[in-house]
Amino acid sequence: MFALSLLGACADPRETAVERATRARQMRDVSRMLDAMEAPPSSASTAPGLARHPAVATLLLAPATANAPTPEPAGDRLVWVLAVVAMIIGGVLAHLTWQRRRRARRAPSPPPSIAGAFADVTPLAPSEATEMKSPEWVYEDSPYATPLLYVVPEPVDLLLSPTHAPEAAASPPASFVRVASLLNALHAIDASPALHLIGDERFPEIRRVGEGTTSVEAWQAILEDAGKDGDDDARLARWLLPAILVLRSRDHHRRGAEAPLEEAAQRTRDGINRATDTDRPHWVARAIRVELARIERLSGATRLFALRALQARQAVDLGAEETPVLDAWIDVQLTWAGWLLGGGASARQAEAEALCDRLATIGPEAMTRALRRRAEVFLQRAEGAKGAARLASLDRAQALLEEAHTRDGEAETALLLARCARLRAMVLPPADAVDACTLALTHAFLAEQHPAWRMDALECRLAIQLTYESLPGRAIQGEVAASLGRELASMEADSVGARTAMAATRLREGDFAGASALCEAAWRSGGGDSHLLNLWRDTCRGWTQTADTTGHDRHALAQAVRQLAIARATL
Amino acid sequence: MNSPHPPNGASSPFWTTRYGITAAVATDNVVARSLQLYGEWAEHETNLLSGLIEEGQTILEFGGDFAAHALWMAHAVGPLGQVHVVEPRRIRFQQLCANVALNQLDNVFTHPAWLGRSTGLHSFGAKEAVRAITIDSLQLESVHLMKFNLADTLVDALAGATETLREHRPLLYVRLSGMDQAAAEIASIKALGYRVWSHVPYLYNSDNHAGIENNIFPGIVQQNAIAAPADGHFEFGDRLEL
Repeated sequence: MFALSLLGACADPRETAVERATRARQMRDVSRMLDAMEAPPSSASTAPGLARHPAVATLLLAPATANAPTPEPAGDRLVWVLAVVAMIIGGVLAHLTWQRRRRARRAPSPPPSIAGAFADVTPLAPSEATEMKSPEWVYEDSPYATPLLYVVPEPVDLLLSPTHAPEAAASPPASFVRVASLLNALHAIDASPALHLIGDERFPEIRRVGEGTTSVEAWQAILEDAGKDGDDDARLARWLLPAILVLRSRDHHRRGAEAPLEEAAQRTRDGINRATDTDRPHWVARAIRVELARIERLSGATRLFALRALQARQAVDLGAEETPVLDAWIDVQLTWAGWLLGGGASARQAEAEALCDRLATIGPEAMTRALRRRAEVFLQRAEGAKGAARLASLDRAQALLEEAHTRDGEAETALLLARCARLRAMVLPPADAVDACTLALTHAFLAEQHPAWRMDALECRLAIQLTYESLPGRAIQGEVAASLGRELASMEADSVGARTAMAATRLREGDFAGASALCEAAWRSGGGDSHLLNLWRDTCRGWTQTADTTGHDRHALAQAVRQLAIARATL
Repeated sequence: MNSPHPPNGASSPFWTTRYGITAAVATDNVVARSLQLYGEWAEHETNLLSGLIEEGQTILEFGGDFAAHALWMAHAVGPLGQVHVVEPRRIRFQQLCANVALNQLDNVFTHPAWLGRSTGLHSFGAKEAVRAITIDSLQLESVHLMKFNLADTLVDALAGATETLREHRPLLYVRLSGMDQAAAEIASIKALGYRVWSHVPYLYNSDNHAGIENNIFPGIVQQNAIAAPADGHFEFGDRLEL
């Protein structure tokens, strides 16, 4: 019976009917042998094969003989020997079967699954069982089968309509599964994506890294198609579509941008019209941001008038204490302040701070948000200030960001904190500046862990490194800055800050032509501060001292000097 | 107002510009040519100044430029603000008034006068003379920005504005008169306790209202300056300080 229980214990619960039939037959054989051992000896039960091998019988007999207390007649002894031999043979057979099954199981094993538990198992007829030669796992499809646990679902091509995808009809209509399919489709576009979803899970925002247009177009195609239905995928697609249209408008000049911006505004209006009361504030915030994007493309007084008109239109919604609306309106105030000088800018910043006060009263989450937004106000104030006033604003901003980061731990907050600390390092005494650089670097590393912020964090790290190495008594730390610069270049970082920082590293390496090209690119993309122009000037000076007196190098240098003169003259 | 439109035809009695309608005039000067072709004039100046002007403020402009800037400044200061435009040339003054009337700008006040260091008469050649006044004689209740568009007028105009400048400390935006006069003009501003920064806008705006890509002012810039009281906290960032 021990052998039976042993076989039972070794049996795999996932065995199939074929295996069960095979094993049952083996067990029946062993059972018969055991019955034969317990039954009275008879000539019919004698194993003729073994009887013809006395040597084997003798060998097997020896231990039994030693244990026997009293001598038995020769006929009884022979029955016992036969019974023991049969039992051993049965045990060996069962063991060999088990071993073979274990070896088969060790080879590329199928993943664990609970699909069988849901499968509609129909026992195979014995004739079918005997026809199957090897006991292999067979998974049966079922509409109720749970997907394999370790398998990442294949991206769903949303360009196919649901009527052409029978699997979609069979899969469970759980909303999170469908949203995941849209997200998978979006993320499958690019191995190193230029677009990232950040923020609220239900109402995320799109963050763009780099200037490539391919991803934007692909996202737009997928979102437009997915937005036609009435499920959660469609809801998310409709929410994201205005944002992707705004991103697309940034790839065009003003006139080319008008069409996508108008479409974004129209889709936002549609979203507001069909939104529930809960969702409406998010859509109102979306409308504000789309309008702000349109206003950013205007110039001069036209922009001023459009901002005033927006303020008048949103007066009702601004009266409510809704986090998304207040947050979007802080964006407006800060952007507006960035276009103003003097008292006008201060007034807008004060307005933004008042909105932060209101935001903080809504709830704990909004309070954390308010901390970060208020820090942004102080960072902007610091931009327009000098000396002690600048440091005071930066101190305040850093304190707010530290508290915000303690609460939310978000990469965006960490990056803001890193930038703020670096700015402080630039105005602090050298001893304090080192600590500020350390704090900045720590948070830049933290921000770097999030792919949406990685490039910006790398840019920040390079800026921190350059700031640190420029402090009195600090030397250049080997290849750190150069390595960061190369990494940024490999990522095709094209922001003004990244290009300026990369130019600084190129200048150190003596690559004057490369540094000048980066300075010019930074200037053409909107940079024009004294730091950039002084860097460009130093680059041209170094280049002048090393350039060949003839040939292409000299011509390129002359072009660079001319462009620098234009840049400086049109300040 | 923001919709694209073709260049203003010579036969049309009106030109549609970025900030309103203007009466068509002979295109024998850069201001008129720009308004007719691009639907705007010196928009880069507007880009800077629109960041300085707030509702309720008072602006004084010397040189009407067919109300090209008065149109937007009137809206920028709003109904509680005022725009005073002083234009000494007779025909230009009439064209200025026409455009103010066409656009129903209630808060724009036009003055046919010459701004000098003293009151009296100012002659244009032998045929015409215009009343000369000082800025102080306008007795403005407040003034936040003074904009000087006419060449060779700044030094005298500032000499007649000492009291106004002392009392109101407005920002100054000036078009410098050229290499010969620029040093004296900057010196006269600094003598009033002002800091001065350079502003060198291109005449052509690639993002112009009419969407015209043809640049009829290739490489041409204006040498302007913006000044703020030195005792204030005004900063123009990285703009070149003179």
